[in-house]
Amino acid sequence: MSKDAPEVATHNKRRKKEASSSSSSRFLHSLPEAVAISCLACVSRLDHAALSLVSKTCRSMVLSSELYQTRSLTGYAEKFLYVCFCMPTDETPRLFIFRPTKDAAIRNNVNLAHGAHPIPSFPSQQRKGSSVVALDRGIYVIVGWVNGNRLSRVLLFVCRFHKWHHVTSMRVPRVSPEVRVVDGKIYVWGSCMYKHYSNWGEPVVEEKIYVVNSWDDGSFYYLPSQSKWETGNQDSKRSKDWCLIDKLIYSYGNDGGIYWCEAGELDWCDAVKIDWREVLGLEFLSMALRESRVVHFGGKMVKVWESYKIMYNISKNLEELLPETILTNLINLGKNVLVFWEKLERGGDYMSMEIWCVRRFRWKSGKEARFGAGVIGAILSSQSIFSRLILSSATLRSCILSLLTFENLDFLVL
Amino acid sequence: MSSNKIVLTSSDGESFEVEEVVARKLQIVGHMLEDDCVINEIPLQNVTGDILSMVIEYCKTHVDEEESEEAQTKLKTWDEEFMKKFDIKTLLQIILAANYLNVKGLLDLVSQTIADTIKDYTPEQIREVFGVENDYTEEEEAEVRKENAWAFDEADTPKP
Repeated sequence: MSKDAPEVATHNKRRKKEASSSSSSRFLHSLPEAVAISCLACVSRLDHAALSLVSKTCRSMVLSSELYQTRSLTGYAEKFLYVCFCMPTDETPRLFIFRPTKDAAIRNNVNLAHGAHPIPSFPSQQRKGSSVVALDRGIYVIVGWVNGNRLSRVLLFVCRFHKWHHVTSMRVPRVSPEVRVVDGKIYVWGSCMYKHYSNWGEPVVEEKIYVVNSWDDGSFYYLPSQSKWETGNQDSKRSKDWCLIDKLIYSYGNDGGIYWCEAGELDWCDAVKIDWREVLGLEFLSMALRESRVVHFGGKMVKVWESYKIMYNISKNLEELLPETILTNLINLGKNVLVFWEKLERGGDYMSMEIWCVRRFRWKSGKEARFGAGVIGAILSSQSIFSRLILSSATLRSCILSLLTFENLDFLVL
Repeated sequence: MSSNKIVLTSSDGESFEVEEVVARKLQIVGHMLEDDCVINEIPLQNVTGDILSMVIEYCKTHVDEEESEEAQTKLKTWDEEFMKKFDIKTLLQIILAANYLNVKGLLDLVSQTIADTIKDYTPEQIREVFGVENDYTEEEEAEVRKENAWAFDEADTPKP
């Protein structure tokens, strides 16, 4: 994979050339292009793979922006989940796409067990320090650092082609910044040389972006429309991971429970504490999360360690000292929440590592939500999506689910 | 007005007398009627009689598109049965006719049917059915296969 191969341009060039090629190599050659595209638009992206093999013109058509626009307009856009993680034996994080099985589609079930497929990862992405966000046609990666040097470099993984590109860099170098998309723009916070405090979690609520700094246990919000910062509630302690669905914010606590509050509560004055309430019905999940020790090491401690590493020029990651360290991710997938976490088990002379995923359906009991009946969750499926044996003699470096995103494949916005 | 009859003539000289409201489902006819209001006979150069009769059958069935769920379900069932009658070659002719005559509902229906057919085909079958020549070299084909490995069944588990 070339670092900056202009793949999009290449495809376009090929397409023009092939349009004038002999009719026998044209796909559905008896049909005008617009009609052929309206047929192909109804075909799942999984089946586009077989179509790409038919002929060069067919491949160009499958990759064309016309096809993707038609799919978006006609409601055929599909969502795919991309996960980037770093195994103990990996030098760099690897990117995977989860392929929904046809069987799963029929049963309306997310069967991820055999669905993780490796796709090209960026060779110089480091195991720590990068941040990721999905927007429109691809996944943006803020590189973080390479060989100890902080970078302002930004990469784009174009999901349609599964190719990497360099895009315009940030103004300043940043390591592990927090990133979010609002109104089609990417916002990046913190983690530059000038501010050492970090661990920002920031749910985006309507027109505001909330930024929570867990060092100071305070929150701020940014109004993109007015380019202005305001102080929010100072009791926003659950800041490791956020997930916003239907004006409710979900996060997880030290006891492994998953909690929710109403988005508006972040605006309450300081004297009023945010009323975090536990999502009921997820006992299995909270036990798994508690046992995984996610919450004890997952946020603040890792970040403190990162600043120590920089300050004292230490090369070891916290996970090398505390191999059980696990990080989770909550992800908003339509009306569902996906929860990912790592699980390590020690055997006689080996260890096994698994990445687990729970697909959780949740609903709110209407008006009563405010008065204690709360949010009830039900686990739809729970399974190990990735597992591998690791010799215990191997240096156990970080087993971190380093980043996770889903991709609006066809420009579809939830 | 609704009882007004229009004669549609195919490229091979076959004539179909249909009610104006049915003929207007063919947008190409609708535009002609708007441009010049006194037409009783319309020649349609790019469609043969057998295909035109299928299009007319579709238009007649869809002439009163009711909103009710029951009516919609009934139409959907009819569409499915209607599509089952045709092989892929005929479907291609119908979609061309639907495109030329500008019958959006039929165009969408046939697009979906062709897509449903394609999705179960191997690349070799697609080439055969649609008469497409494989213009890949062996190396190029291997490269494309590798690029799309994630979507094929054989690449079911990530390599260690």
